[in-house]
Amino acid sequence: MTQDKDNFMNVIRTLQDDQPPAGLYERIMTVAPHMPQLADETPVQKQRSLWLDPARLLGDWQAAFAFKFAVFAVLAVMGTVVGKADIPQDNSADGTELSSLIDGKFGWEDRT
Amino acid sequence: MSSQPQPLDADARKSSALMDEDLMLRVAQGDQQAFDLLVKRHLSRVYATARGMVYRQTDAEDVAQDVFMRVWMYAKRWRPGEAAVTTWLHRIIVNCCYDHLRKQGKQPFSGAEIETLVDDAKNAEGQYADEQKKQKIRRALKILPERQRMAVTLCYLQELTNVEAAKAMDTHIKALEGLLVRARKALRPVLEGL
Repeated sequence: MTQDKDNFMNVIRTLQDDQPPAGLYERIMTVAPHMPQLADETPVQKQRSLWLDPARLLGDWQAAFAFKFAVFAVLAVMGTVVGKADIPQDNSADGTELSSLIDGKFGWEDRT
Repeated sequence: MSSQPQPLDADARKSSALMDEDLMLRVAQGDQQAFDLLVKRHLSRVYATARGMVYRQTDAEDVAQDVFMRVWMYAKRWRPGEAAVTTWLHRIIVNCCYDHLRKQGKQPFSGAEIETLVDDAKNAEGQYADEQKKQKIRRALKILPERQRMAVTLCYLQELTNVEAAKAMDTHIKALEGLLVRARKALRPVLEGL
């Protein structure tokens, strides 16, 4: 296993002599030092930014609200569709007629 | 904190004994000379790591530039007691590489591509020049999922210890060892012929 690992490392180490191309150093030194340096962030600030940042909380709330509203709308539409589908179209059939149909016989009821 | 750093004299600029930590503290105060030294000292390492991760030379250049931009921008957030400069730097490299790969939507090679690589490696038998061999290794690395590739790059290419690499990747050492084992297993057939 160790031999295997050593061989593997030797192959990968072939890439170690990759040198950065000419001009990369200059490119970095032209750009990087002109970027603004961001201020130090103390642990207290970090904590506040995690829990008490109104802008972030508002953003989160808006995103959550949109999601909740979308879920509510989908459920409402589904509820309406399913609710309508469950209404029996012909409500004249009662238990006796249905069981007669299943048994292959009709049951008659004198309504007079 | 707001006091201007003293300029580095010629001896200091040449001295390799000037610790990375000292340079970082100066960079945090906006010292461009210190930044210049830091870039010269670590550019090869940063570029080689990026090259191992993102495959193409131009992409590796972009990543290297991005790394040093972040070093400059976030220098004030580095704290001497918390992490060594190299550990912090490697963490930035890891993040920049991942960001770059996310932007590009890079995916590992498909099964067919892996088979082609295996065949290529078997056919190589030492007849390729060094550059072709390197190219083959880079392509082989590209097979790996990002985290395995990063583990291999940090541990075998940059020769970080497992502890350092795990810190840079923000993972547990056992998880890192698992990544390395899986990476070796995946690469063995590809690199066999090299």
